[in-house]
Amino acid sequence: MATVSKKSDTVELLERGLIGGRARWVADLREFFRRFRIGDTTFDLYARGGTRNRGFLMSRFFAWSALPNYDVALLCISSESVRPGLTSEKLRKVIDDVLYLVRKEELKWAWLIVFLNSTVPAWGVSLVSRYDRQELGLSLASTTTGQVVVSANQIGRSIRKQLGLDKLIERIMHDKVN
Amino acid sequence: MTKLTRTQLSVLASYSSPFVLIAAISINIILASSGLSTTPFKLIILSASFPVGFGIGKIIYMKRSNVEISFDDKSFQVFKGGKLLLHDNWRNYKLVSIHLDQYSRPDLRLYKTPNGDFQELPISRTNAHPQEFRDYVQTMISRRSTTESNLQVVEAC
Repeated sequence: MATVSKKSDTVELLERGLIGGRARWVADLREFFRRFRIGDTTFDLYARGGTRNRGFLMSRFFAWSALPNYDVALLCISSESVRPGLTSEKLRKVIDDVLYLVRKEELKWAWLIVFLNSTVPAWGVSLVSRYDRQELGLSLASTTTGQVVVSANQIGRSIRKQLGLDKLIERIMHDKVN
Repeated sequence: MTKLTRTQLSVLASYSSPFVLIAAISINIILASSGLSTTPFKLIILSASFPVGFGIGKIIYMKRSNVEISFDDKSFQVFKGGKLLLHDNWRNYKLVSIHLDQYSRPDLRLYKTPNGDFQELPISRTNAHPQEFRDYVQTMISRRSTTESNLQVVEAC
């Protein structure tokens, strides 16, 4: 059986958490693709689902009666998948591809997480922290320094709070140290 | 061919429990009619109802609900209760995903076209690791695309 390459470990951990229901307080992600191509960009992970949880009996009734039924998605890409390297222009292109998917699939919103194997560059901090489009939550996370930058919009902040990206990066850093 | 399968204990228990009960009642009636209802070995004799009930349950489970996925580098087969449900080649598919069913169990979806027709592989009812198996299937599918593009290059030459 095929083995998962080392560079995908971070993405694999993220995916495992999502399959286990890590994002369920915000989104019920039901389908997970790896190496998913949109335009010129190949995303390491594409997860899609909705905002209405399925649940059982009471929680199902609550979800049906109280929660809106929007389609949402999570996309993840690691800097190693971007050749020759992640630049400001490349990141903008990746964002454009995600927004294209949001329009095409009629998604209410999407998360985009970029894993970097270096420190988060100054242009990255500037671009992400100033990003304010409501339909896309952005995050840059360094797997070497543990730095996590999220966009200032509601969806961006939920990456830190509900998705627990900080904890994931902490765990990766801890595993690296040990 | 590699085989993936697993005994689903909850399903097996649901098939077996009525037979465990019937076996226990039958043993009790036999003991009572033989005048052995006060024997100190009654509980030990009654416990035979479990292997008997689970034995019958296992036979029914294997005939009705046991899921088995057989695969090699070219094709795969899905059996349920010994009946062939699906037999196809990896090369007929373009995309693979992990899909969570209504109980959040991870199964595999094989797409012939993106957002189009798909087949479901019930890997949650086998001993397959979802992410590893999905990566394996993805390798099989992408190998097909590579072969096709290589053939196109050869034809162009």
